[in-house]
Amino acid sequence: MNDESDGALVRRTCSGEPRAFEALVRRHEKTVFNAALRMLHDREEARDVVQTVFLKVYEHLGEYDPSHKFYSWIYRIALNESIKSLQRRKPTAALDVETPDGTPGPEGAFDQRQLSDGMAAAIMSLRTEYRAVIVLRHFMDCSYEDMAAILELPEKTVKSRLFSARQLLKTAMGTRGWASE
Amino acid sequence: MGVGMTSQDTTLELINAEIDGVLTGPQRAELNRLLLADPSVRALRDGLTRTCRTLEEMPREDIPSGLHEAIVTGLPVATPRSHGLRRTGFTSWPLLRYAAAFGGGLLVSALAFQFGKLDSTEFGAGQLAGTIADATHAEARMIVNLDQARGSITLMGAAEAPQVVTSLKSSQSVSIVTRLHEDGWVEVQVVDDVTDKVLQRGNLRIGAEH
Repeated sequence: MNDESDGALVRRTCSGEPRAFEALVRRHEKTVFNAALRMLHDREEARDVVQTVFLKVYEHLGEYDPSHKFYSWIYRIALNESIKSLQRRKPTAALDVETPDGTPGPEGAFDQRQLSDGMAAAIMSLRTEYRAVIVLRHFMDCSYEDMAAILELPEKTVKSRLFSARQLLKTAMGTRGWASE
Repeated sequence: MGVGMTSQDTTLELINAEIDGVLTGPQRAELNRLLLADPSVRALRDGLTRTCRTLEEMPREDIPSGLHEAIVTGLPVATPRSHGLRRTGFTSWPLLRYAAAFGGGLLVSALAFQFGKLDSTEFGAGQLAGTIADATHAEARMIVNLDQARGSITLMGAAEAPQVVTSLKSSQSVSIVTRLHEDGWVEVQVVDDVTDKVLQRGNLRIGAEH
């Protein structure tokens, strides 16, 4: 079943094989969780989003249009649910992200954990539309074409937004004292 | 590179294309020329490359313990077909996706398009169940002559409630996907279950010339 395409697993699920859907969950759950985590910076919220995403996918599986990529459909739902979760937060909650500075460790170098924490904070400092393109490109491995389909935007707009988001991240990392600037 | 782009836009596009691995040969030459000519371009490229490398090297977290089980056990008992297969937001005609997946052997079955007359957005599993049918009163037929499957897919019965009758011998798992359009045409696809590629497609309508 692991070698089967997403489309085949969808058809099997619709034909009454629940184990086929479990294979779809197993295939996509980690990517969806990491995307939600980078959008929200909160493991519990990300967990809730992942559950909601797969429930919605299951409930609407009969409406899935097989002429589109299945993962594009599921990623769009994941992004939308993450954004909804952000909108439910209190306005100040988004500021509760720990923002470690770029002070080097005892060896005089930044370790990977520090860099990752700094980058996670920098990602959270981006506006939602910029954060979304960073998450799609770097955490969901989407092509420009995929991103355009998921966001329902022209590819040119997606590229422009992605390039701006990367520059904003580079500046944010520089402001925090990391070496990206 | 589009018309009206500034040199800074062009530089940014080239650097980002390099990062994303989509730089063409001529673009590579242009980027190399810019890098040699302008130290600020080198600094910009180094900074963006480092930023993206940091993004790529961020650890991908494992899903929380118990999440997979929570997802699977939290699903509704009913299969998705009883929730889905309804009028969708982006189509104006009733949609039927009959996933008759089978692998090997001979399949002879029929599917009645009764849901086109339903007002309800849902229908029961019984309406999807295939039955053995005689295809001798065929009205429209699509011959399938593929390496993966051979036989025929036939549309028969009344135009407003046609039946799709499949009589196929397959050597691997394929699906027959059908859609009924409002104008009476039935779109038929034979899909490879492994690659998900459409192996053959056709349109059938009772009374139409083929």
